This record gives sequence, structure tokens and C-alpha cells, in this order.
Amino acid sequence: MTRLLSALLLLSCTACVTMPEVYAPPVQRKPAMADESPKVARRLLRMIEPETDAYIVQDIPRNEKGPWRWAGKRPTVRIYLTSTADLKLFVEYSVAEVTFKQTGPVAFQFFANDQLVGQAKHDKPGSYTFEKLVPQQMLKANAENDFAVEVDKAFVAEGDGAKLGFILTTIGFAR
Amino acid sequence: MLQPLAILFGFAFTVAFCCLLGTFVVRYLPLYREERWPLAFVLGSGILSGIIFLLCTIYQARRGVLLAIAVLAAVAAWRSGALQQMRSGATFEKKIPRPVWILFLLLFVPFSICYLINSMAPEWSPDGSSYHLGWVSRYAAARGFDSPESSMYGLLSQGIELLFLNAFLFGRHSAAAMVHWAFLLDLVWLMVCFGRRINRPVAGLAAAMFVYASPVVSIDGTSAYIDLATACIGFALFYLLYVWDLNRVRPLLIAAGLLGGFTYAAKYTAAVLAIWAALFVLWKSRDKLRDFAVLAAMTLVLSTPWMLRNAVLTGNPVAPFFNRLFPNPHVHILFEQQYSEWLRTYDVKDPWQLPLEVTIRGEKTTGLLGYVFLLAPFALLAARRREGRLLLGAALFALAPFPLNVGTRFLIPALPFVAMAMALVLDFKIVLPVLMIVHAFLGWPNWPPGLLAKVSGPGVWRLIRVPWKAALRIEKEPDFLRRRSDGYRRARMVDSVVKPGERVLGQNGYAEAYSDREILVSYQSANNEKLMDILYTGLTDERWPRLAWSFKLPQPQSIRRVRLVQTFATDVRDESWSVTEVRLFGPDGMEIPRHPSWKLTAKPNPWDVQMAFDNSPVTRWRSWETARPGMFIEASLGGAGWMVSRVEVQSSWDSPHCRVKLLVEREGGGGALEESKIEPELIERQTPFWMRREATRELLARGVHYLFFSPDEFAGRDLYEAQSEWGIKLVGEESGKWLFRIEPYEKKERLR
Repeated sequence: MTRLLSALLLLSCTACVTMPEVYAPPVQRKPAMADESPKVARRLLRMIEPETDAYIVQDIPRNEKGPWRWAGKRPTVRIYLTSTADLKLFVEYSVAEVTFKQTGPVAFQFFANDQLVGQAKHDKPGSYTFEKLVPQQMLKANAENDFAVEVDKAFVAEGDGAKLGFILTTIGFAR
Repeated sequence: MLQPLAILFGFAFTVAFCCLLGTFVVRYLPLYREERWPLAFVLGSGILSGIIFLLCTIYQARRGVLLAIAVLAAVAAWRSGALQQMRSGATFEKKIPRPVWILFLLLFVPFSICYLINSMAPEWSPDGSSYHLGWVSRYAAARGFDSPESSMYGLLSQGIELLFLNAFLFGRHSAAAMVHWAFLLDLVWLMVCFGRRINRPVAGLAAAMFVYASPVVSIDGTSAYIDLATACIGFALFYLLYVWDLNRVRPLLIAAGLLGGFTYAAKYTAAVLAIWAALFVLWKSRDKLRDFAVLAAMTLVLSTPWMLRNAVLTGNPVAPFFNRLFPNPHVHILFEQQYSEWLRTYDVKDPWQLPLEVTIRGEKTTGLLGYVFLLAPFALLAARRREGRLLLGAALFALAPFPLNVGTRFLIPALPFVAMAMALVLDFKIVLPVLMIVHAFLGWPNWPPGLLAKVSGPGVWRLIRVPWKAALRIEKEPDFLRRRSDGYRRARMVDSVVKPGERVLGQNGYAEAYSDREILVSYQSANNEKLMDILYTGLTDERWPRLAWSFKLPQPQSIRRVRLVQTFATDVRDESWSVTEVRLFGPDGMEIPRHPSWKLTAKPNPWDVQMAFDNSPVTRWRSWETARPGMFIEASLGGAGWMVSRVEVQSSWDSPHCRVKLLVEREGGGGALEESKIEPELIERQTPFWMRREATRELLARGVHYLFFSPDEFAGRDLYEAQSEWGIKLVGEESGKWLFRIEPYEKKERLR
């Protein structure tokens, strides 16, 4: 029996090593730095996500945290589209009470490549969603497309004169 | 036509081989003639399992070798007279009453036909087709033990699986399932014999039928599981010691010891019966030390090989359990803690619901014992007589692991003892025959139509049909499996897409016994958990290295060693301490490049310390156990020391309570570590948004080529919707599962 167990132990040892507990530094990884970072293909941009910054053309502040951002008069984003069929322009936004007091009712226009997709008018502050199918001829497949929302009246802050349009939460495309 | 024959041959060959080897032991035992074959089978199965263990160790587990050993054993059994002796000896004096015997046969035969067909049908049980036969299939391909690195199931003792391997080599999956059914038949035979031995033949028959017709037994015993084999071994061990208590013949102790070891080899939890055996011998023996030594020595014969194997492979002889006692890089303590917590409840909120859950509901605990076991409390009355007390004592031990895993099938090892004790109590007039009939009718899977379906919930794990066409392969095996098994269809899909040698990462597996590709199921090993942690880091910002604890030294100092110690005792059991990167900065404010001469370690989990020094934002060292004060990461910088002005520890929000202090060994400090007393400054960082791609890059570098997810699994939906962000491509879809290929990363790639 002793011989059998010894043989077993020896045989078991032939393919195994003890794991060490001290290590040298490993091969250093080279994470993608800013200049070689991949630009991700997104259709729906949420303001809470830092990668949204990469798509902003104008009137949306970058490096912001939180689920929404103050947009200017005509916030615009640029999105790469591989296909143009059955795409709905989708915007989640709010009219703030503080701006409404100064501006009163506001009108919104929604553009795809500077062509009007739709309009909305709001007589009171609150959260709104715009969702409308974009005619295919307004869009370019396998190319970058610009999308914008324009508000007719901007709020001007008394202190610093900053112009605020509305609160933007999400902008982009949904199927 | 050939496939059914191959299946039957694989099954018959394995059973015959076991019986043959068992004759060498049984010939020395004072048994009645009726008891010899059933005990020969169990004892022989232990011996065969041990032989195959040795063959697997030297990679010689193949058909020719096993056939040769069987032929040699047959010749030796014949020439030594062991076979002839099986027919000698006395028979039981007490006869079984004829009407009860006929009733038993009327119930037993239809059930047996149903079981024969179900076990011979293509194997598609959840655990059987995934890991029990998954490992058997790997061993068959490798002709021996394959590395268990990717799954903790490969670290469990696999004594029964090795018997499955013997059958699998000839008849593939169904032959293995049939071998398990053979153990069920053997158990029934032993219970009938035990009833006759104690002059209560009707109780023996009834108890055997209570077990045989139990719904959970019917499906488990006809699948490539190991619970009925374990129950059979446990009951045979009890049987032998019962006989030893009557005869005091040492060969009985030798045989019992062998089976005690086999309980461990079959299933860790069944080893409680080996403990029962040791205590029983110590209690009953007149020569306690000697008898105990014989029993213990024989117990080690079949249990030690598994302990040695695990000790050598992992450093933990009882892996994948007791990892706190035997820390190792293969199974995380945190996983063991979380997994065992779940197994203790199975989401049954109220423990008082368990008796009904395991007897008549069975949806949460997967399987039901049957209505008759509602009478189990009556078994306690069996304590009035000697056999009853012994049965109840063994039942108590067999039940001991149940609180650790409250699945119904974890009651199976105790079932023979409980059923026998119940039957002893209820053995008057026609009570037992009536109960046998009622239990059989309520347990029958197919007729009267839907009866079992009516008394049990819709999702209960149980036999449903009698698929005789599939058993005879009139319906082809792939067709049957495609029709019945999501896991099989997924396995086929994976095999059609993934090339040999490429690895797949997922939260759950598929019917691995039908695939030769390697899937890394996240919870099944420490390495897989790390890979999944990398993937999740790509997705969830609480894992991103957004917290930087910066220790600014008062002035640049020549440092030889840096130790970062965790100081907080958290109440959150799942909160481990994690460090994404440790960075040292020189007097010029630039990071000091890590030098190959540095020596890194950590406590606990030193094996992953490199992940905190690899410059990757998606890999991290984790304690993989609840954070506690005193845990540390250490870098020894070498003899001369390095000029350091700042030490930065990058961590994440999922270790919110952990705090760090810095200890340093200065040059000329005599090798002692001094606490720096520096209050670290906490800096919150923005993390780059391309963490998803970074994660898949890292996985690719670690040999993961595919991701296997369903929409309802964490990250599944995001993988599907953000394929370009991840750098993956959907290449397969089957039964609610997606298979994504990770695309090679190209510098300056512009994802679309």
C-alpha cells in the first residue's frame, strides 16, 4: 500500500508545480491613449455618459457629470450612420421653470442635416420627449450626419449674461 | 442499430467488470447468497474506480487497457474460485410473503422498464450533460485527467465519473447514465436483502419501493448524476457494518473501510458516512484501536488519491471547499462564501416550507421525494428497536450535509435509511402494500395521464415521458437532443463557430458533454471570475479606477520597500478590497517605470498581485474575500532603493469603505517597515470612455476569443447593443443565447 501511494504521489507530481507567492512586474499594457482612442459608434447619446463628448458639435458643454446638461440655443451632435432605414429622431429634454419664467412659451425645431424633421411648442415647464421617423432621404448612409434642436428663445442669466436654452437628457436615434 | 448495442455493451461491461472485481472481496465475507452480488457490485465499483484513477494518472484510460484488465480479472476470478463461491453459502431463511412479492414485482417491473428506457435515451440532464459527463468526455479524449483549471467541478472527487468513463468509452453518454441506474437497482436489491436479514421482508420491499418510485430518484437515477450511486455506497457501508456487528469478522471491516473511502471518492458530502462508520466501530468494537486502524487504513485507500491529486494541483486537498483553510489561486474564498450562502436556501425564504418543498412541491429545490415521505416523522418511532436505532443514526449522519445544500437530491443519501425506518414502523396489516401502490401511482411519470404532473408544479425536475424510440435510436440522437435540450443546441452552435483551441467566456455553460470547445463559466473557477471581472470593468463605472489615493512624501526618499495596508473592517460581506494600479512617482513628478528586479506580493491572494502593476485600467488585484484590516500589497524595489516622492493607489467605487495606509522601508532602515503617517489625498478621476474596448482587448490577450451571453444576463443586452464599442461581432445565436467574437484590436481603429 505504501508503495502504491508513493507511486501515486510521484505520478501526480510529474505535471504540477507549486504556485509562487512573489512575482516580478508583468509585461506592461499600453491602454489606448487619447490620440488613439477608438471613436465608438453610437446612435443614442445620453448626457450622463462621458463618451457623449466625442459627438458634440456645438451648444452642449463637455466634461459634465450628471444625467442632463444645459444646452444652448442650437445644440448639435454628429453621428455616424451605417444605415438610414427606419430611424427615429429621439430627444429627451426639459423646459426648466426658472427659464420659463423669463422666456414664456417656447418652440422647438428638430433638424437632420439642417432639414426640418419636426416641431414642438410648450406652454409650460416640464419634461418632454420628441420622437419622429426621419425620412430616409434626409440621411446619409455610411457617413456622419448632423442633428440639431433649436429653441426659439434663450434664457439670459442676469449675472453673467450666459445664454441657456433648455435641459437636454438624450439625443440621437432609435429604431 | 449499432449505437444501442454499443450503449448496452458499455453499460453491461461496466457492471460486469464491477461485479467481477467485487468477487475478490466478497468471497471472504460471511454473507447470505442473495447478498453477495449486490455487495460485490458496490465493492467492485470502488476497486474499478481506483484502477481507473491510476490509469487516468498515467494517461492510459482507454478501451484496450480496460478490456485487458477485465479479461485478466475474469481469468483470475475463475481460477481463484471467487466466481464459484458466489453460488455457495446459505440463503435467507425468512421467505418473502408471496402476495407482497408479486405486488412488488407488478410495481417494480413497469418502473424498471421506464427507467431502462429513460437512462438509455440520449442524456440531456442539466448536470449530467454539462459537468458530470463534460469531464468524462474530456478525460476520454485525453485518456486521463485533464487540467481542472477552468472549472471547480474538475476538482471535486469523481469516483463515480470514472466508472462513467469506463462505460462512456464504449457506449458514450447513455451508457454512463445506465451505470448510474445500475446503482439504483443495486440499492433496491440491498434494501430488499436488508429487510430479509432483519426478518422484516415486507418492510424491506416497501422501503425499496418508496425509494425506487420517488420522483426525484426516478430522474436522478436515470441520468448521469451520482446521487443514487452515493446512496447505494452509503447503504452498502451501513449493511456491511451491520453484518460485522453480528459476526465480528475482520474482512467485513476491510470491505467497509474500502466503501468508506469510496463514499469520499464518490461525493465529498457522503464522507459523513465514513465518519459514522468510524464512530460505529469505535462504539461497538471490543478491540477498538485495532479495528479502527483497519477501517481507517482501508478508508484511505480510495479517498487519499483524490486528496493527493487536489493537494498537488491546487494546494488544497479538499478543493473546491475550505479555501479559507487552504488558500489557493483556483477557487476564491468570496465565491465559496456566496455560493454556499445560496445553496443553503435555494431562495426558500421560510425554512419551515422546506419539508413541503422537498416532498410535494419541488420547484425551488429541484425535485420532490413524493407524498409518502410526508410520513417520514414516523420513522423516529423505529428507535424502539435495535435496527431502527442504527438506521436512524446513519440517517442523521447522511442528513448532516443537507443544511449546506437544501436541494432535494441532497436528501437522497439519507433516503434508504429513512425509508427503511419508516417501513419498520408502518409494517402492520396492509398499510405498507397500500402505501407502495399509492406511492407508485403518484410517482409514475406517464400514466395515469398527468397524475404526477397534477400533484407537482409545472417546473419540477422529474421524468415526463418514456422515449423508447430515442432509446433505441429509431429517433436519432441529435434529433432528440435538438428537440429537447437548449444546452445541446447551444453546444452545436458553439462548435460550428468556434475553432478548436479558442476559448469562450460566459456566465453559464451549455451541454459541454457534447462539445469539445472550452467554455469558461465565470463562477466555476477563480481565473474565470477574474476574466469576467475584466469584462464587467468595461461596462460598470463602479469598477473603473476612478479613485486615486495619493501619498505625497514630505521629501523624496530612497525607498526599498512599499507596503499598502488596508485598514477598514467592513460589515459588507461581499465587499472585497481591490487595487487597480499602484504607481510610484520620482522627484521629477514622473512615474517610475516598473523594473523587472522588483518583487511584488500581496496578502491575501498573492497570485494576482501583478494585476495591480500591469498598467491596465481594466485589470485589478482583488482580495476576493471580505475586506479586513491588515490585508496588504507590497513591492520590494531592490537593494539600492529608488527615489520616491509620491505613491498612488488607484481603486474603484466598489470598494467604498476600504482605506489604505502606507508603510515604507527606507534605505538604511535596517529592513524595518515604518508607517508613513501621511494622510492620503483622494483624487477622483475621469475614466476614458473606451473601457469596453479596453476590456475585450485584455480578454483577447488572455486567450478569450468569444463571449457567450443571453439578454437577461448582466452585460448581455449591452454587449448586443454596443457591439462596436466592445469591438465584438455577433456570430451566433441559439435558444436565447448570443455568441460574440472579439475582434482583434488595431491601433487607431475607428469603430463603426
